[in-house]
Formats: sequence, C-alpha cells, structure tokens
Amino acid sequence: MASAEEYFDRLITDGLAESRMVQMTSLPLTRPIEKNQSAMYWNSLIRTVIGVSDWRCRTGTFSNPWNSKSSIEFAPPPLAYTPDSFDDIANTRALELLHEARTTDRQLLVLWSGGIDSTLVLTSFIKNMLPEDQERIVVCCNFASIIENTQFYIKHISNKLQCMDYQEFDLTPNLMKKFIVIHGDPGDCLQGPSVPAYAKLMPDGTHKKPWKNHIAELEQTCQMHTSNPSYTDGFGKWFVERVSENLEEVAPENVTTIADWWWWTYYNFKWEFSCQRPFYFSRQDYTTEFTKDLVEDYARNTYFNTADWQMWSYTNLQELVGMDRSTHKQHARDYIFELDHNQVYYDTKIKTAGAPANLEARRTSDLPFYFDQNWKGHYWTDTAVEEISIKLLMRFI
Amino acid sequence: MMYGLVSFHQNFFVLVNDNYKNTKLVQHLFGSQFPTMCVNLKLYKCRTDEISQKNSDSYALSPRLARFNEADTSVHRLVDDDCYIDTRESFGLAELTEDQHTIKTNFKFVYEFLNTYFSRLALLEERKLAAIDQKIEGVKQLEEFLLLQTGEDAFISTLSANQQERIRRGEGVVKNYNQQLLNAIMNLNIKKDTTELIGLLQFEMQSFQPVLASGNKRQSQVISTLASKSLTDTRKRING
Repeated sequence: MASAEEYFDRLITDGLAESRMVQMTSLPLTRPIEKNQSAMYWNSLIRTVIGVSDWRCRTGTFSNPWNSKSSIEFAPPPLAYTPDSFDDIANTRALELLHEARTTDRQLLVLWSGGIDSTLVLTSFIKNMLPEDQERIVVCCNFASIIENTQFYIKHISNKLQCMDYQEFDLTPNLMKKFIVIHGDPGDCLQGPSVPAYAKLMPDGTHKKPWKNHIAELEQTCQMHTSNPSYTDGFGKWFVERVSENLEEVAPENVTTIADWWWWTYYNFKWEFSCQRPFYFSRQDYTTEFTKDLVEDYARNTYFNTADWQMWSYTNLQELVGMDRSTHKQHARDYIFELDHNQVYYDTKIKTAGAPANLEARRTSDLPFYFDQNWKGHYWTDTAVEEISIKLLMRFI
Repeated sequence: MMYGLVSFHQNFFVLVNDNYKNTKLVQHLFGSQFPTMCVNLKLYKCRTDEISQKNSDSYALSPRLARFNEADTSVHRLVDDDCYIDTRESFGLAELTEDQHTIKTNFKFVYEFLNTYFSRLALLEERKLAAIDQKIEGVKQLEEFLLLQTGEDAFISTLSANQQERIRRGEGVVKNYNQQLLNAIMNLNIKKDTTELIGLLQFEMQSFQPVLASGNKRQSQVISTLASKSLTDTRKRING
C-alpha cells in the first residue's frame, strides 16, 4: 500500500502531466530554485515572452517541468499549403457555426472586445446570417468594447442583436448547453503575432531575414535588459536554442524568417492555451468540471481552431508581417471594411490589449495553479502541490 | 516604498513592503546594522544583517518574542517609543544599551514618518472619493452620448447602471486598499500571538498581491510618491 507521500506524489505528478493548463505566473516559491538554472529559465518565460500563461508544444519536442502534453482537440493539422482565401475561410466558418447553432438549438455567444479579431468574427456572422439567425447571435461586451469600436456598435449591434454585459459572463457547463462560446483568440497568431518582440529589428528589415543566419539577433529579442529586475542571465540563448531545436525537428519549410520564428512560438506553444482562455479567465467557480464532450464541443467550435485557418496562416506567412506595422492584419481589416465602411477604424486601429477583460476579477480571484482534464482548478496551497511542483521544477533539465 | 512598520520588538523590525530594492533603501534609513525582517507583498523575505533567514524565522517564533507580544497589548495603534519603554520595563528587561537607544531614535523617526504618511493617505482617500463621482459622471456622459447616436437602447442603459453600481462598490476602479493596508497594520500590531501574527501577515500579503498587478501600476506610483514626500517631510521635521 502506498504511503501518503507516495500517494500525493503520484496524484500531483500525474495531474500535472495530464493537465489542460499549468499557469506560469510568478509562483510564491518558499524554496529557492537558483540551484537549477533550467528552472530559473522556465520561471523567466512568463516575464520575457508576450502573453504566456501556459507553454506546451503541439508538435515536436520541448520538455517542460510538468511533463504536460498537448490535447488532441488542439492538435495542429499537417502543415500544407492552401489556395483558399481569407474571406472564403471566414465565410465558411461562420456558416458552419451558424449551422451548428441551429442543429444543437443553441445561441452563439460572441465575446466582442471591439478589436480587430473579435470584430472580424462578428462581421463574418453578420455577413452570412439569414434573417432568422438574428436571434441566434448574442454579443457579449461592455463599455470598453463599445468605446473601442463605437461606430460598429451603433451601426451593427445596437437594437439589432441581443447583448450580454461581459461582467455577467461566467463559463459553466450549463452556459455551454445554451450557448456556443465564440471569441477572437488566437486571431493574433494567424495574422502575424509578437511583433513587439522583434520591432527593433524592423527598421532595417532584419525581421524578414532567415532566422538561421541571425541567431544572435533572435537571442537579443528575448533577452531582457540587465536593469530589469526579472533579468536572468542566459535566458535568451536558452530559449532560442530550445525553440529552434523544436523547429528544426518539425521542419516546416515555410518558416524561414525571424518573424516566422516568432510566429512558431505562438503557433506551436501558445495556441492551445489561447484557444481556451475563457476557461482560465472567465469563471467564477474553478471547482466546476466540464465533461470530455463539452471540452471537445468547445474545441470544435472555437472559431479559429480549424485546419483551414491554420493552413491559411502557414501558406501566407511571408505576407503576414510587412516591413512596418502599417499592414498588420490587413486581410481582417479589409473584410471588416467591406461591411462597416469605417475608414477611420480601417486606417487607424492599432494593436491594444484586448478588452473586454474582466481585469478586476482577474486581480481579485485566487487563480488555480493547474487545471485537470475536466478544467477543475487545483491550487498551489492544496496538499503537497507546492512541494511536488518544486521537486519537479528542481529536476527540470 | 515602505508600506508600514508592522511591529518593533527588542531590536527587531518587521516591515511590510513591496519590493526588495525599496526595502533595502528603507533599511538603509534605519541603519543597516539593525536586524530587520522585511516581508514584502510578493512574499519575499529579506534581511540586512548577519542574522540568517533561518535565524530570523526562529526569532520571530521565539517564546521570548511571544512573551513580549503578550506584554504589548495595551497599544491600539502603532507602538510609539514610550509604550516600548513601558512594556519593556514592566516585562523586567534590562536597560537599554547605547545601541538600543540609537534604535529608539530611529524608531521615532519611523513613527513620525508613518504619521505623516497616513495623514497623506487620508487626503488621498478624499481625492479618490471625488474621483469616483467623476467616474460616475463620465459613465453618464458616455451613456448620453451613445443614446444620442443609437436612439433608445436598453442594453446601453443596463450597462451604464451596472457600471455605476460597480464604481460605487469600488469594483472596476482602484480599490480602497490603502484603508485595508492601514487596518492590517493596526490589527497586526495588537495581536498577542506570533503565530497568529505571521498567519495574518501571510493572509494580508496574499490579499494585497492582486492589487499590485500591472493594472494598478499608476496607483502604486502615487503611493510611492506619497511615501517619498512623507519621508522628506519627516526628515526635515526631525532635523530641524
């Protein structure tokens, strides 16, 4: 019979390995991890790479302290070229999801921040819905969304579509029985992500040069300045080596430039979490569990989590990012402009942090450390979680 | 930036702080030769003198300190030096050494600083209340503007009402965490039991952690400026 220690060791080690997500926020470590340099680098990931909450590779190898694997629902398609246009894929996807809503008798709950990605998603539904579909769409937003894209709200949402205050949005199994939750993540990835990381290389076009010939520049893009309190010596080198090894192992032929290398960091490592963000950020009770069917349903209906979108992004890698930021998300802008004719938004919309984030809830809620297969949260303070996690962190190579 | 002196026993300081670098600065003010346990809101603990972290924890949990805490119950505000002397004498401890007199002087400085600091916090509180009114007015104006564009729109009116309610409750805007902090410091100071004291510290640190998230950077800066001005004023008053 296993001792209590062995029991918890197995329980937590297995739990982390099978987890849906292990958060990478700064842990309240009570034991120093300086003795293990790899653990230090792992801890630095969240502070140096943009928007990292969980990090696991969908394909190839990239070890993590928890031995956590990617879920089948978010597996990448074989990377192949597609002739499909952006507009065709958006229209087809909207029709698919409208059909899914009709056949399962649910409404589409569109989380709309007013930014380009979620406006693109909403636009595709508006363009493709039949008059009787109008009742099927519910826009979940708040004042921040309306301020972000006021004209869109006035012209296409106000008194036309049902709305829900974002503050009232709480992702639960019951909600998923009534609604198909739709959001704009990971639209960023598909249309050229992480530009701020390599923005310094843009003026002379270095970001469009082969990454294999510019390892030193790549390392610079991920190394914090020594004056930064989160600076970890050698992190840039470690990180670039790990990602590059993974990239060479998978060897997608179209990933060639520094900008593409950064695309890969999102596409292969951040995709899965980004698709599932609402499970992490938009729940009031982290003890609720979601069945396998519900998680599969969610993944299948995640707007951008399709082979078509991913292959489109891969096919068009070379034009996702131009010589400057002026053409950022050009396809989405064009698609939206066709509906709203809002020249100001078309010309001036810049990348900002996504609303509608319930920041207050994020700050005040005690977020779990990891989530199991059913998205039930487990806390750092749960029995033995801290001890065993630190043990795994110390063993991380 | 120093948030507050939680307690002072024998020659031992406990500071609540928000980052290591600033803790070091404050310790420098006290004189780095004094044993000081600094607990910052990100759960770091640091020391400046030769006493190790382990010793520091042992000291905080020592029966001697526990007994001293028991004696230190008449104070319902930050301990001042008179009280320190009274409790010390009633507890039958030895007379103060020269070094300890120096500490006492430093402690007076800190005490003055805290008084100045908290009076400034009260002023900040008034301004925050005014800011809430302004924010509600802003929401009303936004509602009015949107309704002019859309005509009647029940959702906008609902959003506006919800938002105003949240602002009144202190949600969605900067929380009234200065008051929480003040209460925490006051409460911690009158606690008898060190285990409870440490437990409370941990609880308070956890509850403060979220407000130090990036979204509240500006608020942190305001408080930081406030503390720095208070320090300057105190220094002038003490010296002058």
